[in-house]
Amino acid sequence: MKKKDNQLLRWKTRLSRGHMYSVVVTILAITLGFGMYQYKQKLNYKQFLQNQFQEAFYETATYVNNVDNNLAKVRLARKPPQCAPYFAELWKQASSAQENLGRMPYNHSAVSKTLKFLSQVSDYSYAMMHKSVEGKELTDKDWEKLDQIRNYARKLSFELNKVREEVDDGNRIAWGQIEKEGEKALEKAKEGTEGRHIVGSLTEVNKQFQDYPVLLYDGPFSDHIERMEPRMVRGKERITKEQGAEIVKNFLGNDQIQTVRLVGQTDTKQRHIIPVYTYEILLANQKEPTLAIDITQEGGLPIWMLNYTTRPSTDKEISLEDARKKAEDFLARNKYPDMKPSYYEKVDGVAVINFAPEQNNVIMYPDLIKVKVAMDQGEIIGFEARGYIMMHHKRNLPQIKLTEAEARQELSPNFTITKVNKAVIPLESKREVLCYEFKGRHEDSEFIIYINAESGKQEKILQLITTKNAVLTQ
Amino acid sequence: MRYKKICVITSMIIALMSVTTAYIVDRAVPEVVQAAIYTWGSKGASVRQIQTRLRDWGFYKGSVDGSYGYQTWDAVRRFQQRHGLKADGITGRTTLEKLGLPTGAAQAAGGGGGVVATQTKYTWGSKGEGVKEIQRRLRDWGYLKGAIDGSYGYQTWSAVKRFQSRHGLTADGVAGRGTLEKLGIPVRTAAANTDAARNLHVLAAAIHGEARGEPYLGQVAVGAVVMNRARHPSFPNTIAGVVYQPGAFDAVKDGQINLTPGESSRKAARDALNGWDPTDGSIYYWNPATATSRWIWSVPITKQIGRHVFGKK
Repeated sequence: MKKKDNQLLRWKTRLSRGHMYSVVVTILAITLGFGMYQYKQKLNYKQFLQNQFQEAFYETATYVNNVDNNLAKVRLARKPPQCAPYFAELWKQASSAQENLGRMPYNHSAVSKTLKFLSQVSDYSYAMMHKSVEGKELTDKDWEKLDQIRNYARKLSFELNKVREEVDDGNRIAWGQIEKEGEKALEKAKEGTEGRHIVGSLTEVNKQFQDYPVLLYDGPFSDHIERMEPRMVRGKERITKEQGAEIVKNFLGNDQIQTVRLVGQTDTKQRHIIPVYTYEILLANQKEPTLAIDITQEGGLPIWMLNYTTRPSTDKEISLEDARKKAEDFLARNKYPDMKPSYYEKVDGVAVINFAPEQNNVIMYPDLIKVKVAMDQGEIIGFEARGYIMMHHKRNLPQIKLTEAEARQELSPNFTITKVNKAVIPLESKREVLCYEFKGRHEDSEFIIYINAESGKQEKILQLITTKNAVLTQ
Repeated sequence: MRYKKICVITSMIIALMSVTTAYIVDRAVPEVVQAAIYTWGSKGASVRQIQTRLRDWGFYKGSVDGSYGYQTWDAVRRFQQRHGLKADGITGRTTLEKLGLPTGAAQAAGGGGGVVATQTKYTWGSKGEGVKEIQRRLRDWGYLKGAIDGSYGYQTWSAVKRFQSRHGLTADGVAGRGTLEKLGIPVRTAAANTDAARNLHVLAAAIHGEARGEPYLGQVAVGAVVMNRARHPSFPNTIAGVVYQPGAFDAVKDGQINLTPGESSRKAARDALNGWDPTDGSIYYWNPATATSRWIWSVPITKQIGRHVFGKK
């Protein structure tokens, strides 16, 4: 005990007399070294990120500049076959510009309209490229749109170049600032203080796209897609929430329902959405609701349903054939007539079966309904009919101008046909075309080829990635 | 004298502080690891999983309520005793492993040694890693005495049969989906090479990181928003592009995206990929209680699910 006390005392004295400085200094040095190492690491990471963003910025500026140039050139090419390569180039450059702009750490709202513009330029050029390849002349309207696009592309290019000059002069962009401060940096940019250069300019450009005209054309990013009206429900009689609850009960048609509770309803003043009532259903033997369903307020149609009850594990599994029958019965009981299964897939004890209606022996693929079947007992645990509600109607089918034999001429001789149907398919632009559907094989793979029944144009080739658990109906 | 003392103490404090700061700087990206130890007072989905397993195996009689109370503790203790572990009632790494539950982010997908079944059915004559894993589990739990040779013979068959009859499954000696599940072996079947399967993991991880505490429907909804963005001209065109867009999702920013997605997130991702969309085409969502962006409130709301509201412009 005494010895220990002495030791402590000695240590204390040594410390107070300054003999222990070496120890303290060593500790300090180590810490300092460690800290510096960490700091340097941090700087390295930061620099790495800065470089990535800087590169993305330069790339964006270059690609936008190229878009501008190619838009000028294509005006001079004029004839369809000569135009095609420029449109191909535009398609690629605009898409790369969009990709790179999206990689930079802005607040999305600062660039969303610019991003959309670039997507549309790329998409529009793709549509024009197709037109040119087919040898069709671009109409005056097409050229007019291209002029509009060019005006905006030029503005964007100009702004980006201005920033680039500043950057080249040594005013490097404080990417960290943009990332960290997010919205605050944006506000400051508006006031013209810190972080002004790029955020400020881009917010300005983005604002100019406010009055950018609606662009309608034959492509997936055309503005008409957002404006499509749901054919099955628009203008139909409005139901009350009590009627909706009755519809839910009839639709599910099982005696397992304890309660149906309305949990939400869409504000109907909004545009371009389908107003719905959302219900949650408490099933028998459950403590919490495990089934949810949306019913359209107009027309009272179920738009989707999901039953997410945890299912007890079992080795028993019904066959896909039986699952399909259960799904067919379900659709028939709920008065979806003439629905034909097209494709089904089984994953983790659940089958998802795609159905499309038939009209005069023509399959209507846009009017898709999906049904989910639990494979343990064949219970229907999911339903999805957005495609059906958006698109289904009695169509005036165009006159078929090609015979099947003529359509076959358009196929590769190495393609072995197993089945032929007639079908209406939606293109990416949602434009519908009447086609011959050829299912068959080429080498080891299965394909479906669609030949336009009016023009003989090959509209689409699908490759089927078949797994053991997927079945395509013949 | 006193001055010197103060000097020394101050410098030591500074030294300590800089060590900690340096350490914190290093850890700026929080490493999110699911707690690997559960004991009295633990709560949540993992406890629920533990209780389910114990109940399935007859150790636990109480209700699966996700709260680690006396009954759970006692059941764990008996389970540990039975399996030659230290019977302390605390569910740590080894106990989790014996229970066939994932032990946290350190382990690859799912239970056990990360081996997943690639078939939904194993029977006489089956061979391979999947069979080995079945045998390993059966041996650990005392059903199988033979060697772990990866070949489904008589011994495996009869062990599976005994396991099944003990656990209320049809005792046919064929290890199907239910048996594999009870054995704690996750099943991942072929579809692995399709586009959907490739996207599935990214989407499931995003859902897990962003909405794992949400009701199932809220998880599908978050997945649907990612899908809607990929189709929207103002966003990147791929699922990975949307998920990893700078600043788009908090879970990507703070690294929670790297957690191993749970079963619920995977299911939700699959529903979203298959086209189920509870949000009617929404491309934004936010938590009204924590949203810091003023801009987001200019987005019209289409729906509220769980803690998130969804909307599109």
